[in-house]
Amino acid sequence: MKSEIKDLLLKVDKPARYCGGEFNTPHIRSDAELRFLMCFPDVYEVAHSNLGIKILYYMLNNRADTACESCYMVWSDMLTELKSRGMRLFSQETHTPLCEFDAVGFSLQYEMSYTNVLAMLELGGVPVLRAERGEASPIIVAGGPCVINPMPLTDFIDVFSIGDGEEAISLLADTIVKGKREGWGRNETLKRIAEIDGMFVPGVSAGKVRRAVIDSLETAFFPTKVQIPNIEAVFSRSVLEIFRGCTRGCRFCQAGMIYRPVRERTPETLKRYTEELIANNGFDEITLSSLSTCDYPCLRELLAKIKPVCDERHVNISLPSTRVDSFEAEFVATGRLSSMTFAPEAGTQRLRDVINKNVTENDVLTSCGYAFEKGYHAVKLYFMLGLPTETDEDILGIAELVKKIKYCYKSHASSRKPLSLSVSTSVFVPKPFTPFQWEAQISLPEIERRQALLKNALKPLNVKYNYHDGKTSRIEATLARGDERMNGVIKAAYDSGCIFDSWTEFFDYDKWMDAFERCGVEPDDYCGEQSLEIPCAWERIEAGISREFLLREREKSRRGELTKDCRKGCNNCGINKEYPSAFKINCAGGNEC
Amino acid sequence: MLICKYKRVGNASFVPHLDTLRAVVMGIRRIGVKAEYSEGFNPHMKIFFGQPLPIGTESECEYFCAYVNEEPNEFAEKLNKSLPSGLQITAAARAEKDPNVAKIMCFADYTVTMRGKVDNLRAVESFAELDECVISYEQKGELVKKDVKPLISFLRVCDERTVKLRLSCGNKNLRADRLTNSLCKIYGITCGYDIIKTNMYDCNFVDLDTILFGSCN
Repeated sequence: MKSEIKDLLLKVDKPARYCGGEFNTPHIRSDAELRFLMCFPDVYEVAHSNLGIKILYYMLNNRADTACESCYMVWSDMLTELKSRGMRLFSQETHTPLCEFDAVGFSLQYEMSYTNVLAMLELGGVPVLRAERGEASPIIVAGGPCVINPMPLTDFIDVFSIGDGEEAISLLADTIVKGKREGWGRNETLKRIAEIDGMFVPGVSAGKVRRAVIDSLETAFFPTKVQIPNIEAVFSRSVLEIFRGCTRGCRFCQAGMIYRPVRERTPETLKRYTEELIANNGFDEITLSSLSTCDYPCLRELLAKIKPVCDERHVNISLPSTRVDSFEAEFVATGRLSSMTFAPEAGTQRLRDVINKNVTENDVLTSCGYAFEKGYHAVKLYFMLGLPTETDEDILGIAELVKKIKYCYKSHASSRKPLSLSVSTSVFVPKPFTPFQWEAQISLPEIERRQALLKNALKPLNVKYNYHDGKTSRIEATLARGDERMNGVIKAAYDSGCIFDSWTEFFDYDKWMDAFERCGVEPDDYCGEQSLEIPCAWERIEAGISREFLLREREKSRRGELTKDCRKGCNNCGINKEYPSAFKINCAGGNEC
Repeated sequence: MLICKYKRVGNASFVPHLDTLRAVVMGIRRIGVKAEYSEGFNPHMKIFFGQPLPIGTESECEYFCAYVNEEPNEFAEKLNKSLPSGLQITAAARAEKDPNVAKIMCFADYTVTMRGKVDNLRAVESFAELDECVISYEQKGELVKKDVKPLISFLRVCDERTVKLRLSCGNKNLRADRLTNSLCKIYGITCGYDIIKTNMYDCNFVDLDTILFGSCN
């Protein structure tokens, strides 16, 4: 290690986040034709919990012509040290400055990380504005769920990779390598990249850009050997992605729409991956990851296959579960008795029907009853405030549900410990490509009033109540539904010092409000109800879900009508027409497993 | 039960104590060796380390004791392929019971290497001869001044770049980096330095290697 870097690391908190040397770091080719830097715009501990960047990182390093390194947002003390020493943000693996790479990719998992992208570019010695970059600048790429609406970031990002990254990243690497061999200029390279499926290149792409979808997860690359972070990550466990997509059709949920169609891995493949994950990584927990793991049709078979393997190696299986029915609880109960999590999202059946959350009070109580008998004594409940058509009655319904769960514990508990119950609420943020994409977000005073209402209703019940800051949710809405005018607002907010907006200790609402004002942009343009007549800014992207389907769902929600799970029959969302091959190969849509 | 000696150098010297422990546990898990686990709701692997080493200080002489029933050298060889860069097992032997390294460790030797030649380096030897050896360092944002004379066994300058220290290390402890940093300030040395811990001793100055591994190591 260079002494310059060693001295720097001795000055900052948790230097293990920056020193590199993680176990399972692949060999970084020094003679690579393409030097790629995979970035995550949040701290090391958060970044290491993300599966997407790991898939792409190992895919790139498996190529003979590419060296991919990684880089994360540095904490504020490191940021100050780097600036005062005139040093640039550098890669973990070889401590190379960000500006020296051919291409730099960002994973955008949540809107509140946008200003960190700007911070990393500036700290890495790359012009923040796309227009100011030259031939020597890296090509700045962005992917992840947020880029389904790329419009607020078109001034900063050269290439948006929309949809699944597995095929896109290979084609992108091919193109950049070819460009270097043949001496293409930056513009020519960007022009060629725009020809790749799913790539939106601002200023180059013409017409609609369609989300990239891989046909099958069975044949897709999955990293069973992942970098082990030097210090514990937020989620310290192996991740096994059992399927992608979701068939439930909750009307507020963006992930449920933009990852369609469902693509599953077979239990045989998943068993093999489980063995590899255990042998290669050494975590004491493996999580079966997906948007709705209990919907995996072969879950029972899968658990039966992997349970003995995991038991032998002292590895716990965790299900990110929202519905614990009897057999799952049996499996879970033999491991650690941790808390149970439910996300009913709304307090009354009426509102749960509006959002198409196919969970009844009875489902929750039955699951709780079973789990309490098994010895569970902690329950976490997640709700959203401000859903379309929500009334005070719906909010008070949350307290009613809590009372019933407490009563259920009294009659079913096998544990002698008191019930630990916590309620968390987030604020509804309307997201692109959902049936609620046109809905208004409630105003800030109204958010605070409803939070206070629930707080008072829960007070006599002796439960813990956590709620998301309403101000953050307001800004999140403007970024999620932003158009190109938001570029200026993001830049102005960053210039006035906004970074780490997803961290309460950094988030500064007033600075954001100032940024809106200076740019002459009205936040309510994005938080308010959107016109059905004018195309939305994000409709520049074709996500594969038809506008007609979204409108149909919107109308049904107003009538409180449910839409059935896609596994019980097709609801004609448009995916089958837009991606016929991906749709056919996979068993979701009514076929038997 | 096995007692293992390991070194922690390079990148690994920035990894905190508990995460170093976690790295070793994960390494043992990866190689699939059967280890003993504690009982209770959250069973954890039974493995015991010495006292923490400060971040940034390298060491050739750290120890842990693991409840595994394996041939020592085979175990070390296998585990070394499964540890992050900078962590390496350098010796292993069977033990009857946990020698409790954290409790018996008492003194340690350090080699401080200056990053450039320092002409007047020999002057720092006089520091240990003072009636009071006061060093200052920052702790939790506050400046602390402390007389560390009782914690210095010796302080020897070998050449223009090298200082050897023997300091209390364990329940009574003097961090070599804090002493060196103060020495640099007092004697105006600006070139920077690297520190490596080379040996540990019990309260009678018997090398821990002799205690734990006998004469064969």
